[in-house]
Amino acid sequence: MAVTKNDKLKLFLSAAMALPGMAAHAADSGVRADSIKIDYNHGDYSESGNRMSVKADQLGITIPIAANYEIGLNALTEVTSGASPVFYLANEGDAPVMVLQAGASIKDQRDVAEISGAYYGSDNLISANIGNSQEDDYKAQFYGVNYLHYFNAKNTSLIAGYSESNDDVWNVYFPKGSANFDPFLDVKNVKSKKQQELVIGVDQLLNESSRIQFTLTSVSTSGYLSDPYKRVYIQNDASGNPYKFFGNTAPEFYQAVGGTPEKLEQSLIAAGENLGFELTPAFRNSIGVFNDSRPKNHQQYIFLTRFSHYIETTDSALHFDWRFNSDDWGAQSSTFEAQWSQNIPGGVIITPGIRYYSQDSADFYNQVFASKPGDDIYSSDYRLAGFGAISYKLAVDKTFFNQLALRLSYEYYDRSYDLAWNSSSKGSSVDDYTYQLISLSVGYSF
Amino acid sequence: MSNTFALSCFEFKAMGSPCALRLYAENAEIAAQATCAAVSEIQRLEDKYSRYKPGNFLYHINKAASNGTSIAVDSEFLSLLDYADTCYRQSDGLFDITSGVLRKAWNFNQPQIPDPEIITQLQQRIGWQHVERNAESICFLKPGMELDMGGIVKEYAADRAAAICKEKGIRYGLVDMGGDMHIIGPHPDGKPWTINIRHPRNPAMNFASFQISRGALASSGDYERNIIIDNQRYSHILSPKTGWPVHGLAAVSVVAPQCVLAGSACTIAMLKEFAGTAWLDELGLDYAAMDVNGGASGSAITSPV
Amino acid sequence: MKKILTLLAVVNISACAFSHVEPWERGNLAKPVMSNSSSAQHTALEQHTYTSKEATQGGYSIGAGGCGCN
Repeated sequence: MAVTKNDKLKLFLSAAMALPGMAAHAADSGVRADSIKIDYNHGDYSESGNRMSVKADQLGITIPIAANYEIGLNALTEVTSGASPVFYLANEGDAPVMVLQAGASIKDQRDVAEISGAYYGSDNLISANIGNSQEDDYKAQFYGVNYLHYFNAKNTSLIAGYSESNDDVWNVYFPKGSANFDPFLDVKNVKSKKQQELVIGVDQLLNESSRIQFTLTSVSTSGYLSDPYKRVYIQNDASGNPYKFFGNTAPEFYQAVGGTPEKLEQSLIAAGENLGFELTPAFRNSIGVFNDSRPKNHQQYIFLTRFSHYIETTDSALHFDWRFNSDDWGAQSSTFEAQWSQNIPGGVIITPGIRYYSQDSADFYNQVFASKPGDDIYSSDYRLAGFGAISYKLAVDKTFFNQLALRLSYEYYDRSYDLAWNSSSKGSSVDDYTYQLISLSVGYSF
Repeated sequence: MSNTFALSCFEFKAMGSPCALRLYAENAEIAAQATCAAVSEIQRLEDKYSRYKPGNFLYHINKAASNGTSIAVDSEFLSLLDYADTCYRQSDGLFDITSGVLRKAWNFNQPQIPDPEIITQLQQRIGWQHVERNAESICFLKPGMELDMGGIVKEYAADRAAAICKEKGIRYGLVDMGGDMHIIGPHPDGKPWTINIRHPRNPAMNFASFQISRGALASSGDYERNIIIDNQRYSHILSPKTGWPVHGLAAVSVVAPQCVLAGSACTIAMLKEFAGTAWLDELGLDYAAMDVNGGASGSAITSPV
Repeated sequence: MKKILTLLAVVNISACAFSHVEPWERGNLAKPVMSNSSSAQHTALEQHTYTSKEATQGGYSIGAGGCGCN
C-alpha cells in the first residue's frame, strides 16, 4: 500500500486513529491506563551454603485521576536472615579464607514506602516519586523526577531524570553505652551518605518491529560509604612486624564450612566472634583486624543500550541489553543480557533469558593486606572483588480475562571468580556462591 | 513455531448487509471466542446507531435534532463526530452527516424527480455547521435536523471487530461487513487475500483486484442502490450542495489502514463526482475507480477478467 | 568465557531497516512480548538484588532507591 505522507492524508489517518478502540492493544507508549491497578509481588531469594536468604513482599496500587494524571503507592517489606561474610584470614600459604559473621546471624527487616505521581501530556510525560526506607541499621529518604518528551509522532523519546537518596547508617551491634563502643562508628554518631543520579537517554523506534534505547546515568555517592559490619585483615603493622594474637607469633586459621565457621585451635578471633559479641575495636586493631574503610566519594558513569526486535514468523521478541560501567573505584563492569519472549498457545508468554556480568576489582580491594595501605583506604568486601556472574532466567506470564496478570519467574545466579573477564582482577573463588530468586507477581486491573 | 491454523467462517447479517468473519485460529475455541466478542461489538454498534430502532441512542439524538435542542452524549459518539468533522473539512463540506433528511425527497423505490421546492426546503434543514459540540454534549442550532451515522458506523464496526479479534489472539483473517472489510492478517502461509471488485456495469466481470495482507478496503458505487430517471442512473448518495444524488463515478474502492478511512474516502470520492479520482490521487491512498463513461483509474485496475 | 560473548554478539540486528513508524503501524511494538518486563515490581526486586551483590549501581532508570547496601 503506497501511503504518501501528505498532510491531508495524515489528518485523516490521525482522526481515524483517535476513534476509541482502534488499536488492538492496550498501551501504546505513553498512554495513561484508565483502570485502577493493584500489584503484588513475592520474592524469595536464597544463597548457596545458607549464607543469606531474603523474603520480600510488595504491594502497590496505581490510580488514574482526571484525564491525564496518575498516582501510585508502593510498599515493600523485606526480611533477611542468614549470615554475611565479614573478613578474611590468611592461611599458611597466604590463600585467604573467608569468615562468616558467626554467631550473630543477621536478621533484618527493611520497610519501604513510596508515593509516585505522573502527568501524561500529548507529547510528554512527567513523573515524580518520593519515599523512605527503614531498617534496624539503616534509614533512607529518597525522591526523583523524570521528564520524557516525544518527537516525530512518538518515534523518538528523550528522557532526563534526577533522583537522590539521603541515607543514615549505623552498626546495630553497638548498643549505646556498651563496652564495645566504637569511637569510629557508634549509635550516637550516625553516619550519613548521599546518592545522586542523573539520567539522560533516547528511545528510538527503528521500524515497525524494532526499537533501541541508549541511556547514560551518572551515579555520585558521597559520605560514609564503608560497610559498618565488614572488616579487613592486615598482616603486618607499620613497622613490618606481624600482628600477634594473644602472644602467638603467626595468625591462626579458621575455616568456614557451610555457614558455620569451624574453629581451629588457637583461633582466638574465631572464639571471640563466636561468643556473639564483637571484639572491642582496640583489641581488634591490635590483632590486625580493621574496619572496612572506603573513599568518601564514588562516581560511576553507566552506559546502557537496549534493543528489542519483534519476529513475525514465530510471534516472539528478542531483547538484548549491554551495559558498561566506568567506575572511579576501579570496579568497572560490563553486563550483557539477552531474553527471548515467546507467545505459546493458551495465551501464555514464556521468556528464557541469560545474563553475563563481569567486574574488575576495586583499586583498594584485596582479600588480605600485607600491610596497611598508606591512604587508609581498604576493603575486603566480596562485592568489590573481581568476579563474573552468569544468570539463567525463565519467566512465565499469563493474563486472565484481560484483568488478572500472573507472572512467575526463576533465576539461577552463579557468581564465580573464574568468570571474570579480566583474569588479573583481584578476587578469589573462596567468595563464590550461587543464588536463586523466585518471584511471583500478580496484577489486577479493574 | 509450527502451529496449524484452521479457517473458521461465520456469516451473519448486520447493518443491512451480509457479513462474515473469516478467521484463522489454532483451535475452535479461540475462533469462537473471537467471533462471539466481535459479533457482540458489531451488534452493540448496530443497536446504538441504527436509524431503524425506536428508542435507541440515535433515536434520542435525532429527537433533539428535530427539536433544535441540545443533548448530553458519551465520548464514543463525540469521537465519531470529531471524525465526521474531519471528513466534512477535507471534502469541502460535501461529506455532511446532517444531509440524511434529503432522503425524504428521493424515493428510491418509485423513481421520480421531486419538486425542486421540496429539495430547497430540505436543504434548509442540513448543515454540519449548525451542530455545536463540546466535551459532554451536542447542540443543534436549527430544528428539523437529523444525523445519519450510516457513512461511518459500518466501517467503524469493521475496525472494532478486527481490533477485538486481534486482542483475542487472531493474527490471520478478515472481517467483512458487506464489502467494507478490515484485513487482520494474510493467510497463515503469508499469502495476501485477493479481493476482486466487480465491474459496475457487467456483473460477470471484475475491473480491479487488490492483494491485501493487512489493512482495510471499502467500496462504493452506483450499481447497488440507485435510482434511474430518464435512463440516467443516480447513486444512492445525495449531495448536500445540490440536493441531488451524485453522478460521476460508477464504482470506487479504496485501501487504507483503517476501514473508517477507506469508507469515507470512497464516499467523498463519490460526492466529488467526476472530480473524485483527482481528489483520491491527491490523498495518496491506493484505489480503483470507474466513472459512468467507463473510464477506469487507480493502481489496482486490472484488464477485464 | 569469550565464546559466550561472541555468541551474544552475533545477534543479527542488521536485518532491520530504518523507517518512520505511524501510530497505526505500532501494533507489533505494543505487543506484550515486546516489553522488557511485565512486572515493574519484579524488575525493581531483581535490580535491587544485583546492586546489592555487584558494584554497579543500576543504570536502568529506576532511580536512587535508598537501600542498606554499600
